[in-house]
Amino acid sequence: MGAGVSALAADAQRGFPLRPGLDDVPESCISSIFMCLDPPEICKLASLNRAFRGASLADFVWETKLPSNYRYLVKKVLGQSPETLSKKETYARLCCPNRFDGGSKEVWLDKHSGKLCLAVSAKALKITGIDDRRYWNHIPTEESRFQTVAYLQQIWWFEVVGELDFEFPPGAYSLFFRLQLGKSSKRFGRRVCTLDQVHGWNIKPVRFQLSTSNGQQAASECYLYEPGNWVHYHVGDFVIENSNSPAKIKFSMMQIDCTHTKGGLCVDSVLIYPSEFRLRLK
Amino acid sequence: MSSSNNSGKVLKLKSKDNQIFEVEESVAIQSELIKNVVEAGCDIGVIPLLTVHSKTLRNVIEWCQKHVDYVEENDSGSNEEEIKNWESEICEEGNNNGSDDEETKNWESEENNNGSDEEEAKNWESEGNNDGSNKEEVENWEWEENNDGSDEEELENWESKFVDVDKDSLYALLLAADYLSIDSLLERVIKQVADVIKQCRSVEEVRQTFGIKSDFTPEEEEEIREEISWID
Repeated sequence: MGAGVSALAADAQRGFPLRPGLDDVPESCISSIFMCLDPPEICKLASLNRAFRGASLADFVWETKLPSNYRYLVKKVLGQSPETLSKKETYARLCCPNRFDGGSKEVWLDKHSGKLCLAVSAKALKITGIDDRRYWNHIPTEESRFQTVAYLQQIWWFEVVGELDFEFPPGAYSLFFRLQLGKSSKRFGRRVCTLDQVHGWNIKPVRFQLSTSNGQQAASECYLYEPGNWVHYHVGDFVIENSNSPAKIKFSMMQIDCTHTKGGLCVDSVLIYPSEFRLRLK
Repeated sequence: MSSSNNSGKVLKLKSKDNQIFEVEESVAIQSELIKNVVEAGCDIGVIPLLTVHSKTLRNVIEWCQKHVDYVEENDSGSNEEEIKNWESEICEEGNNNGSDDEETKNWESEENNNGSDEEEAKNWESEGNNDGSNKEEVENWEWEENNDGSDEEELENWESKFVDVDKDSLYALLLAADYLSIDSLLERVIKQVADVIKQCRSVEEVRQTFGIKSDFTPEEEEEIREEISWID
């Protein structure tokens, strides 16, 4: 009995705890625990104690959370050299929406999964007749992440085309047009939507298309619906196998039946999300 | 089931509280620490594990034994070859009607052709030529030997039960697995701790569950609050 008890007592004297706790776990183990948790959880746990905070800064933890092409993203989107930031800081910075290409596009990582999302402003789209104020106007609005949307009064030939050159992390993505029938504004602090110019969308459907430089294609047809609310119209999906080279994505929507005019439409942006997020947009 | 094809060398491990455990080498070297000691080649009497209590060491040894047994039972490489050989043997016997008939005839003519011999011959014929049951046997055997799916599942269930313990035992396992460098155990315990953390609804609950005290100054706490503001 003597040897065992005195050893324990000696331990206690030296400051070793009698009962081990998570406080005593080496930082490397805590970092390994963090590998199993998602980034917001890791950040919150950093406030537990110094060991947890230290472990939460470990580059090897954040490297597993970042998309595989994060170096490209840091250069293209943050305009910095990847070496200047810790991996945690890189993750945090990439999770905030970052504008690029002259402010006409925005990209961000979903903070839980680290997956990439991208938005293309109406200003970056080629809209037939955009310069003719009889047809189209740019109107400021806080309902767009770009603070501006393209508004269509009326036109026969409705065609909007866009193109994107970007290195996506491998995965499956879905492309949407964010549109609203009707023009919304704030009156006395309340949201008001003017629908009197909305017409022509129930005669023929709008045709949406997308294609990629490696031969993928998708198309869908849809009658625009739900006046007064923003709707994400799903164009189709594409898959990126590896991100060593930029993917060129082309997308469009058209309604060019010139027997009738159509109008009263707000075009905000094109959105690209990981396909598993589709349900969030319903 | 204990292993049958190792040299049978046994190591002596001494826990923190001076208990001696005799463990087969193949089991003990699941620990990288012990493996290094063995490979260093010194003639060690007893390996002292200064930070591992006997209660924990007993569990750790059980883990290592289970994993050694699992690997041996599921050595699928040799299984596949064995099956192929066995299949071709069985099919030759069962389906080679020509030579069976011949053999039977030869045997019949050799032996005295009395009643019991004829009966035996008939029984042997039906056994040897009964393709139906041979195929079934092969299929059953294949299913048993190669049903990796359920074996893996069984191991996973065993592992889950193993780590489903109170917090103190969990830490002890974590520290022991780290100290002894047993990757499989470390990985599973870490996952368990992460799962417990995920079930906590707030950081405070994690703090209480694991008894973690803050050692930050108020200034540091403010810093941290700012650092993590981006996640909201």
